[in-house]
Amino acid sequence: MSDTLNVLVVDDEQIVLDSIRKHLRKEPYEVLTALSAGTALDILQHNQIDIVLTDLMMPEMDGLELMAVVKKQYPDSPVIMVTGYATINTALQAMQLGAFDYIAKPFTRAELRGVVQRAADLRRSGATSNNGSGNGIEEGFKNVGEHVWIMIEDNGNALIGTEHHFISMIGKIQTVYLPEVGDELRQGGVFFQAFTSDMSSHNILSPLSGEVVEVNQLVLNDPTGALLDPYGEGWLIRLKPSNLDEERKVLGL
Amino acid sequence: MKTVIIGGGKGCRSLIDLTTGTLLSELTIDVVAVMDIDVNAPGMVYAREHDIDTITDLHTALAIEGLQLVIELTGDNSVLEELYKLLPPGVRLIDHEFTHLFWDLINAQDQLAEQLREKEELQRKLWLERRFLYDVFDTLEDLVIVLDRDKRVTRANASFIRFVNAPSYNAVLGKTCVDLLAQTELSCDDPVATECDLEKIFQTGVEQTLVRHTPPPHESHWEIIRQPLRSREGEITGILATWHKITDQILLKREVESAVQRFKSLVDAAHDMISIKDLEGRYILVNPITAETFHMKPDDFLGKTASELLPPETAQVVEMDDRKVLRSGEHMTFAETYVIDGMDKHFNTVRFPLRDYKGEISGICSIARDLSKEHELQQQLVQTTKLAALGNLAAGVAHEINNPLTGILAYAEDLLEDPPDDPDDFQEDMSVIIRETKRCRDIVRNLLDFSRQDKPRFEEISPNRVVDQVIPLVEKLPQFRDIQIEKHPAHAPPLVRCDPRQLQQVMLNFMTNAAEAMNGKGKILLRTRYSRRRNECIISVEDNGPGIPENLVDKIFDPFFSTKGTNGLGLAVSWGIIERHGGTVEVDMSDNGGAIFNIMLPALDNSRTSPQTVGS
Repeated sequence: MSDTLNVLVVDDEQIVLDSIRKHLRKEPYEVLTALSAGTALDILQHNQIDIVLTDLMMPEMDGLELMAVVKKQYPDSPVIMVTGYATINTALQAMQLGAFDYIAKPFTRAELRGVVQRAADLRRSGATSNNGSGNGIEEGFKNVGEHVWIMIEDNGNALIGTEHHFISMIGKIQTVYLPEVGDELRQGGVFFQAFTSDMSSHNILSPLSGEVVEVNQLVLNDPTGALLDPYGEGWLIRLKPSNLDEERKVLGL
Repeated sequence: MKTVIIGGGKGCRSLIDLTTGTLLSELTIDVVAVMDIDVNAPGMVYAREHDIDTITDLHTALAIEGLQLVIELTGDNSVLEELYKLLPPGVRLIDHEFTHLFWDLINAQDQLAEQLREKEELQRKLWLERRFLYDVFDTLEDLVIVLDRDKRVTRANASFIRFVNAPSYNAVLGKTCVDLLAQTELSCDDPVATECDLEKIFQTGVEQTLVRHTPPPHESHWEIIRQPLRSREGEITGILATWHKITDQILLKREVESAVQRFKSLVDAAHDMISIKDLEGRYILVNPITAETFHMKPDDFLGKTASELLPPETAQVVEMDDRKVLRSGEHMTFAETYVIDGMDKHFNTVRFPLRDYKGEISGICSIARDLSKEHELQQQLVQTTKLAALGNLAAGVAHEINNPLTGILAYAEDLLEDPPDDPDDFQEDMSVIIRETKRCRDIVRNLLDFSRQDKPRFEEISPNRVVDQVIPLVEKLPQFRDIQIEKHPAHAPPLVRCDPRQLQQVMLNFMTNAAEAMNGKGKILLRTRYSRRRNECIISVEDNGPGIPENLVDKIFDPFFSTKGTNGLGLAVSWGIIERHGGTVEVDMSDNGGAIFNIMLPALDNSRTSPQTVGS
């Protein structure tokens, strides 16, 4: 495997392809583009593709269908789902079907770079996406996708944290963003943002709606240290869920 | 009396007739011979014709064996004298003087015969007349009898004889009607029959009429009339009794009554407001629910018009729609709004003309159904649908707008972080940013068009004029360069209430779609029509392109539905505009498979005479 990774970008709009190409032009990636899933499959057949970024909603064959083919035929190539509008449903669906990660349009260069960077790291490490199997997750923890876990406490509050896997992928964290106590979170909204030393940003969507009742100050003060133990002292927030029953169904818990 | 006639003149002939006739009953004259010296005298010839002997010699004549009488008709006194000499004893002589008596007798006989003939003629006429009357009498379907003072039948017509099952006419004569009818369905055992008092008629001379019914299954109904018959002196001599069968009339009347009853219960029980008015708009019938709705009694309506009874706005609606129906002469359905207790109530009203037996319009019937609840539900549904559409809209907007935003963000960030050295590159990137920003603007603008609550600025205008005005707008557009635009305007269609600019926008949208569907080459037909049945003006945009696939027809008006990479708001916006005009849009397929978009707008009344504004 050469140093330069081949990234295949699939979207039915040229401007999106051009944008991603522009964002990644200084990165060590060879960007290939396809305006449809059909063309993408053609390119996959004739080229060594390391990472696939595909739009979710496309005419004829959509992103999920394309991903299914990629997962089957090229299991070592992580697929990043690009969505026009992110809700936890579509994101989760993509993740559960085996997407490495997802990114919502419009995205900044840092956000895109973060996601692609993690996929590149995974690709270089030679590991396959673990598809949310929850390595090392302890009793009571439920993982949602690959990035986040929740634990429902006896009083009905939910403790939310991030996955070890995610932390190890994003690299050195410089600063993190977390909501404040009293903030109202919406399921599918960004609640955790990590900025890494390469100026990439990594977002995590909230698995539940509700009021933030506690924020882990330890993570805010020393993210790198605290997040060494993401299931222990590295928890992120404690939430008072507002619509737990409905939202658990959405999450498939 | 053996007789010989002397003298065969004309008198002889008459005398022979007299003696052979019936006139002489007491005196029997048996002419055995006629004597004249001239064999060809008329009397001689006549005698021979009647097988009476003729003699030319007087002696021979007088010598006839057993001769008893000689009648001398010669009028010659010398012959008479000779006769006196020769007349054998015992033979009587009537001379020509006495024969005058015979001539008188003959005259009398002729007169009598004439009288007799006249009498016979009269009798024949009478007989015919009588026969005719009997025939009439017998052909009457009514049962008719004449009773005498003893209440016995003296006359009966064939219908009666048949009805009582009598073998002959004579069989009924002399019987009482009670006996004759005993075995029939009109037996006098029936209690009603006791009202029949023949004696009273004889006493009072007053006619009696009564009605008899016989029970089902062989139900029959009779009107029985008994009239006194009077002699020329005015004395009551008998009774004419007639049974007139009125079963059909009774059954018909019953049918009519039950139909009326059925109609009334139907109308009274209906939950719809039902009313009938005459041609002047005066109420003839209203059902209770109608009256209740307006806090009145049904009778309060009768003879009054809507404007005398109902709130002015409501009366106006009623009278206007009634006029439309009278003009068209056909069933029409209206969505009407009445003001009831100060509230708008929504009705679906069917109005139709009523016609008399000649087929002429005699009134108008209306059936109004209160759809206020449905209307409210529908409003809620519309609201719900709007909310759902809004949700879809939001998702659609996000999807649509995020692509250009991705571009803007990427290009702007790149320019900021890593400005290109080549000014051309810079310019190129900036123009992408501008282009994508404009795309966002268009999406937002269309979205606003779609959701805008702006009321259109209405004008009353001929649909032909809208078509005329739209053509110059498209003619110069590049995508219409190879498109032939034809128009087929209706002749003097009614006006429509519309915002011409918005309507043109809709047409433009349909035409742009058509041009694209035809890949920029083909024909667009702009047609205006007036549908009398729906009272709508229809503007159609028809192309000869490939048409709309059937599975997409339901979706084309959804916001953000597009098959061509545009934002998919055009048809949804068009739909919204036409809806705000109170109209509808329909999609159809032309004979050659192309698409037809029909814009249907309510026609304004009394505007058919609008000046024709369309050239060729």
